[in-house]
Amino acid sequence: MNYTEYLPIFIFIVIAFSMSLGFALLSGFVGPNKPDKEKLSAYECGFEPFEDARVKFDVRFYLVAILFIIFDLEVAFLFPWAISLSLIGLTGYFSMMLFLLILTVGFIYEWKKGALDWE
Amino acid sequence: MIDLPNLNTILPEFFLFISGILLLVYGAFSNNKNFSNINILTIISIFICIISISFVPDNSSIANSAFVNSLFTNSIKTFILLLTFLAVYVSSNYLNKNQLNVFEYPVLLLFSVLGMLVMVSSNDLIFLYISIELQSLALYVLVALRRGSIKGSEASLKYFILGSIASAVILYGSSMVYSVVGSTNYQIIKEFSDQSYDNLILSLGLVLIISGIAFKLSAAPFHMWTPDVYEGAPSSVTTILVTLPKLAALVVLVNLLTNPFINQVETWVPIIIIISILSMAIGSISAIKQDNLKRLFAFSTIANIGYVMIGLVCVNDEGIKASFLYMFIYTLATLGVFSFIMILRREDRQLAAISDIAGISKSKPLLAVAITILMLSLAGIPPFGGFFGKLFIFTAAIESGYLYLAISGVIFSVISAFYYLKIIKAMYLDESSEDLNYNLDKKQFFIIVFMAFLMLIFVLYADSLIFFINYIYN
Amino acid sequence: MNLFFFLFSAIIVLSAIAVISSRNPVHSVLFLILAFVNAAGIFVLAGAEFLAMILLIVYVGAVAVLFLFVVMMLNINLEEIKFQVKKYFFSGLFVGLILLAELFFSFSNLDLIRNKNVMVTNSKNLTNTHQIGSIIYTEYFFVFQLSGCILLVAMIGAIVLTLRKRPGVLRQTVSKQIDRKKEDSIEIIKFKNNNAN
Repeated sequence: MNYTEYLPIFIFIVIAFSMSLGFALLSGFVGPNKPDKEKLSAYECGFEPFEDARVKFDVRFYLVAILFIIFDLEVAFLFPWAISLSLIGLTGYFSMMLFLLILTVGFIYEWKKGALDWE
Repeated sequence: MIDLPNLNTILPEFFLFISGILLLVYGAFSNNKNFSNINILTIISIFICIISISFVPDNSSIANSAFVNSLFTNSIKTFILLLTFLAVYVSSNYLNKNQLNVFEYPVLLLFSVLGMLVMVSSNDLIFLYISIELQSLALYVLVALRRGSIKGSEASLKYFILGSIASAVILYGSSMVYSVVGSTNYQIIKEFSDQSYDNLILSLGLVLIISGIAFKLSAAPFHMWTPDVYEGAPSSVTTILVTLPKLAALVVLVNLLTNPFINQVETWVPIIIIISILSMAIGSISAIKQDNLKRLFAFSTIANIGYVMIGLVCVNDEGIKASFLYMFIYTLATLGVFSFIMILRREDRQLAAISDIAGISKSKPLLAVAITILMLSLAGIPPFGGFFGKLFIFTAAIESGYLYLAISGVIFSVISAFYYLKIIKAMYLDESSEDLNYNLDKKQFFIIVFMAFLMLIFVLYADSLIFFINYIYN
Repeated sequence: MNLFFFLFSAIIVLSAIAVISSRNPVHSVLFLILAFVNAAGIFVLAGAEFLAMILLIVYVGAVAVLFLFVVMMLNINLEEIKFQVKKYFFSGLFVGLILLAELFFSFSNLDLIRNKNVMVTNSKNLTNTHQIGSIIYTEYFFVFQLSGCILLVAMIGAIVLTLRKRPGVLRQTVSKQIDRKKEDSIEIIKFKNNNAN
C-alpha cells in the first residue's frame, strides 16, 4: 500500500498538535500565576460559579439531531454513487433516484408535520 | 439487475411499499383528522397485497437468488397478511379510545410487515439482516407510541436496546460466516459447508445467528424482555408482537437451519434442544405467579415457542410441518386472547389484571364461553385446536427418538394448564368486586368468537389442513 | 506502517478505557470521538478509505453530536451509575471475556479465513469507493431500497415519538398571509358629509 498521499494530512496533524500543545504549555509556564482562593469564589451577588453547567435540554434538539443523522446517512450513500456513476449506468442512476424519492417522501411528511418549525 | 418481468417476483412487497408511502403522504396532508379513512385504506392495501401474491410465480428468485419465492413462502406471506388484516381490524376501536389514532400507526405497521415479507423470502444474509432491522425498527416505535406512560417508555427502551444487541449479534455471526465462505448467499454457504462441514468459525457464526433469532422469537434464555415489553406496549401492538414477528422469525430459522446450515446439524440440534426445554420450563413455571394477563400471556408465548422448537429438533419434514401447524394454531388463539385483553375496559382505563375478569360469565356469557374454549385450546385439552398442535409435535419428537423432549413437553403443558384454568376459574367462580360494565366492541367480540369457533371446529378440518401444509411444504 | 497501527490502536484502547472511566459524561463522549477518529485511521491503514471517511462523517460528525445532546438531556448523576457498575461488574466481565475468547478463537483459526475459494478480482485497479459504488446500486438494488425504507421508518419514528405541538404558540401560515386581500381587512367607507359647504 502506498500512503504518500496521506503525507500532507500527517504533517498537518503533527503541526496542529504541536502548536496547540505549545500554546497550552507556554501559557502555563510563561504567564503570571498567582493562585488565590478568592479568585475561585462567587463574585458578590453572582451565581455559584461551579455548579453543574448542564441544564435540561429541550427534546427538540434531539429531533433535529436525529433528522440530521438520517440525511447525513443519505449523503453518505451519495458519495460512492457520484464517483461510480459511469460504471453503473441507467440502473444505478434510477436506483438512486428511487432511494431519494423514498427519503423525499419522508421530508414532505416531516415538513407537513411541522417538525422543522421552531416555534 | 432488475428488469420489468422480474417485478412479478416482488409484487406483494412492492405494493406494500407503495401503499405505505402513499398512506404516509395522505396522512401528512390530511392532518390526522380522518383516522378511520386511513384504517380503511390500510385494509384495502393489505387485501391488494394478498391478491397480488397470486401473481407471484412459484420458485422464482431475484437478485442472484438472494430473494426466493416458493409456494411455501407465498402461503406464509398470505397468512402473515391475513393476520395483519385481523390485527388492524380488531384494534381500530382500541386505538381510538386510547388516543393512539395517529396515521403513523398503520404506516409503521405496513413497513414492519414489509420487513417480515422480505424476511420470509430472504435467501441471503444481507437481505435477512436488513429485513429484520426494518421489521424491528418499526415495532420499536409502535411499542413506544403511548408517550405519556412510564411503563410504555421503559418497555420500548428495553426492547430497543436489547433488540439492537440481538441484531448486532446476528450481524456478528453473519460476518463470521462471510469471513470463511466469502459470500452471504445461502446456496453458496451450503456448497461451502458440504466440503468443510466441521469449519469451526462457520459453526460459531451459526451459533451467534441462532441466538439473535431466538431473541426475536423470545425463546429462553433470550426471553428477558418479553414480559416487560408485552405489558408496557399498547395491547394492540402486543397483539402484533405475539403473532407476526414470531411467525416470520420461525420461517427464517427454519430456512437457515434446513438450507445452508443443514450440515452443521451436530452443532445446532443440542442448542435448539436446550432452548426448547428452557423455554417450556421458564414459560410454564413463571406464568403461574403472574396476575397481569399481558405478563401471563408473555410467559405463555415463551412456553409455546418452546413447543415449536421441538419440531425443529427432529430435523425432518414431519417435525417442521408440526411446528408450523402449531404456530398457526397458536397465532390464531393468541390473537383471540389479546382481542379479549383489548376489550377489558372500564370507564377510561384499560384493564389487564386477572381480578378484573372475575365474574364475567354472568354479564357476558358468550364471551366467557369463547375465552374458555381459547384457554382450553392453549392448554392443549382435546378436542380443541391446540391439542392437535401439541399431538403432532410430540408424535414427531417420539418418531425421531426424542422421547424425553416429548415427555418434558407433556409435563410442562400440564403445569401450564394450571394458569389457563385459573383464568377460567376467575371468569366462572370468582365474585367481582366492582360491577361489570364492559363496553363490548363488536369487532373485537366478533374476532374472539371467531377464533374460538376455529379452535372448536379444528377437529373437523384437521385432515385437510394437514394435507394443505403437506402440499405447500415441499 | 506498523508503527502507525500500534499508535492508532493504543490510542483507541486507552480512549475506550477513558470512555467508561471518566467522571464527566461529556468527557466520555469526547473520548469516544477520539476512539472513532483513530478507528478511521486504522481503516485507512487497512486500505478501506471509504469506510474511514464514512466513520468520520457519520459517527464523528453526527452520532457523537447526538450523544452529546442525549448526555445533556439526561443530566445523569454519574455517582449513581458508578454504584450500579459494581452490581453488574461480574456479569459484564463474563460477557466481555466471552467476546474476547471469540476474538482469540477467530485469530487462532486465521487459516480458515484465509483459505477461501472466492477470488477477489480487481482488474481495473479501482479504489474501494468505486468498487462499493459499482455493486451497491445495481447488484444490491433491493437491499439498498430497503435501507432507504429503514431510514424513512427512523424518520417517522423520531417525529412520532418526540414532536409535540404546543397549544397557544403563534405560528406563521404563509399561504394565509398571501391569500389575504385588501378587502378582508380594510373596509373603505365613503363618508358623505352633508354638512360641509
